[in-house]
Amino acid sequence: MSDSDQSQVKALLSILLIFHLSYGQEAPVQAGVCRELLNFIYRDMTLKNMRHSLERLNRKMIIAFLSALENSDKQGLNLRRNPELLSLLESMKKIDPDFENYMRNNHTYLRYDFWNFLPFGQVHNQTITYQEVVGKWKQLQSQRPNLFKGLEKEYLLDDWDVKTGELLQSYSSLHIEESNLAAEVGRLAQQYQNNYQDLVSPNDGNYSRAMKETKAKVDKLHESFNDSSKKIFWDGLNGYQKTCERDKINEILSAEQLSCPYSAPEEPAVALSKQLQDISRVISSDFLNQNSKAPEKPKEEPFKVHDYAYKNINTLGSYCERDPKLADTVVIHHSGTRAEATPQDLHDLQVVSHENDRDAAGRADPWYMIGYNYVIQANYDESATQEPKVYRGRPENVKGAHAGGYVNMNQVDPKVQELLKNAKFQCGWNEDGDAGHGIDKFSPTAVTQTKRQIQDGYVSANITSVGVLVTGNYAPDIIGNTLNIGGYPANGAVRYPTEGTLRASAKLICSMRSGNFPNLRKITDHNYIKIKKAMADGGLPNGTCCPGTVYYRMNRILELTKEECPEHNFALDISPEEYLCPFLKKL
Amino acid sequence: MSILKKALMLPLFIALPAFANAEIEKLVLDYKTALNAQDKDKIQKLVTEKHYQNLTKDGLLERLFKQTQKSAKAERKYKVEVIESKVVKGAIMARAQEVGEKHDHKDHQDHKDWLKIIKTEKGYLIEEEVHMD
Repeated sequence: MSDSDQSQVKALLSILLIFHLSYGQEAPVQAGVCRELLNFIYRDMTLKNMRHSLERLNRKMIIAFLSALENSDKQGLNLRRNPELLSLLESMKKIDPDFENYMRNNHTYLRYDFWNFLPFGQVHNQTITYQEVVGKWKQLQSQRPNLFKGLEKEYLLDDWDVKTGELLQSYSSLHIEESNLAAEVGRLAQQYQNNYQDLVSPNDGNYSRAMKETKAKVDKLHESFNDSSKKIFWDGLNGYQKTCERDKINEILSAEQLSCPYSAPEEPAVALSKQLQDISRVISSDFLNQNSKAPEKPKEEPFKVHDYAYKNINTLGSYCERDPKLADTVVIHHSGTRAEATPQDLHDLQVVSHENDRDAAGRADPWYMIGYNYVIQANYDESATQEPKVYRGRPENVKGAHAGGYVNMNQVDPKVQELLKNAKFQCGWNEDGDAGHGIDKFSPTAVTQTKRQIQDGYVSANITSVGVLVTGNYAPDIIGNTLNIGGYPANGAVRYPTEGTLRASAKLICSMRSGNFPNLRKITDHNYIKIKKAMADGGLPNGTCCPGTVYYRMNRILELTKEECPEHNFALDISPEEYLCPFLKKL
Repeated sequence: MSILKKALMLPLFIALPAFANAEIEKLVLDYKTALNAQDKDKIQKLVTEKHYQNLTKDGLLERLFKQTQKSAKAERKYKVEVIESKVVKGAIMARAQEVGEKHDHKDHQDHKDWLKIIKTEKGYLIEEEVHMD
């Protein structure tokens, strides 16, 4: 590592030490600080810069490819006779079996979808990773320098490119929240295609013009990358304003404290240290030292659940009241609709579509109102500065209509099991349609049925859970052979919920637990609550694709609850992968 | 109004909703048939402009057609359910369930695809295809 690099590492690590000094020795505080910084680095620094990193890497690969082709021509070798290049292209073929067909049929890459290399694409039988392809390019650079003769050093792949490939490859397994990364990749895919057109447009090996143009783009990216890194770091300092004064940084630098104050366990400290080194390569130490006084931290608005005055209540629909203390599980749904759908839109859809429903005895049994207890009005914009608003659905003391299944008593929290044995229920109709949802005509039959089920050892999951709906469609636009309008393109970038949406979900869960749902312990996906009993009983589970790709961010919701309310413990209780919808299994 | 007039009007009032229902049912069946037959022109005539835009966005219909086989109307039979809401003023929803396809309901929202229908100067049109989880 160069002197400059070392000083950068020092500067970054100094922030950690200042935290250490400022916040004392308590292990939980240290752990929190370290985790926060680690998250910050992963999320804000690395992934937000991923767009630039990836674009830069791919353009450089294209330049290297152009250079190799040009030099190969000069040496009298065509592409097919060049063993090293051919080996690299064979590797690419392993990633996408169609690669060879495109090459053979068209003799060009004009129609080749470069983005199929990326791990976000639907790649089958993948035997080599994108990361390995990047590695092969680097290897080719060192083993066959004559292929890159005349190519300036700055356009050769470097360590940061390798890191980019590595992070890109590990993106799906890390489950790092950054749903717009996939969208960005989709956007960039178009640019890559254009680059491939650049690549094949010149005839007879005359690639100079294409190379010149692509180089200009890379230069611009270098500039943009640096600016972006600095901006992100600067923004990130908001959270560290108390500790980042310049004189203190200098003090710490002179103390040469280079270890993470996070004492145990060791693994996060090592990971942190590694990340710091990576980031130190893109942040200039001068910048750190000159700008170490952080701006004021923006004020965060307190979390609020908004009341919602639903119109079009169906007073012919019956419902049951239940004590919120009986809920031990938060069930996460996606609406499958437009993200912009309002709580009223969703209410109307559910009320109308269930207007003609009948019960098992053939009696009219329409829905009273929206089935979920809470609605998170999400959007797909990762850069949105405001968190999604959260609205009330069914009142918290009213049994929801969302879970679609039962749970065995032994699958319920022991404390809730006890409460259920003596629980009082009231069911019936709000005939006068009052906004307080008071029952004024009672249905003893529904109460008897509920009590009988409990005696028989099972209970409606709608009683023991709270339904939280994230608006939006987190499934592909074609599922099987069926249209799912509003879903993400089945052949394009996968859509995930934004960090803001996940944060709002976590805040809601914490707020419920601190409020009238003191027994909430588990966070689950709609599919699992629906099939849980059947799975336990050895029956045939009849699942759902809900909540789409939100399923793959459940872990992040759990992490965020630990940040938002460390005093409460939640656990994930989610579908085993073999019971997921086919499109989810492929991700 | 005379008793005679009332007697004449009564069957008319009863017949009108039934007639509307039949028209909506036909629209839904035509839409399903056009989708199965991969007939874009026909589809365009049955839906609103906005819905057609959604259907053709990102080459959606082409992609669907590419992976499914054309089938004639006679090959697939549907039972159509139409709801003209009494709760939400003006709301009309319909869905076509293939005969033999399993469907269960009780106290939850299954995977259901509904068609929102609107009445226009051209008659009933499909305004939106709603998928709710």
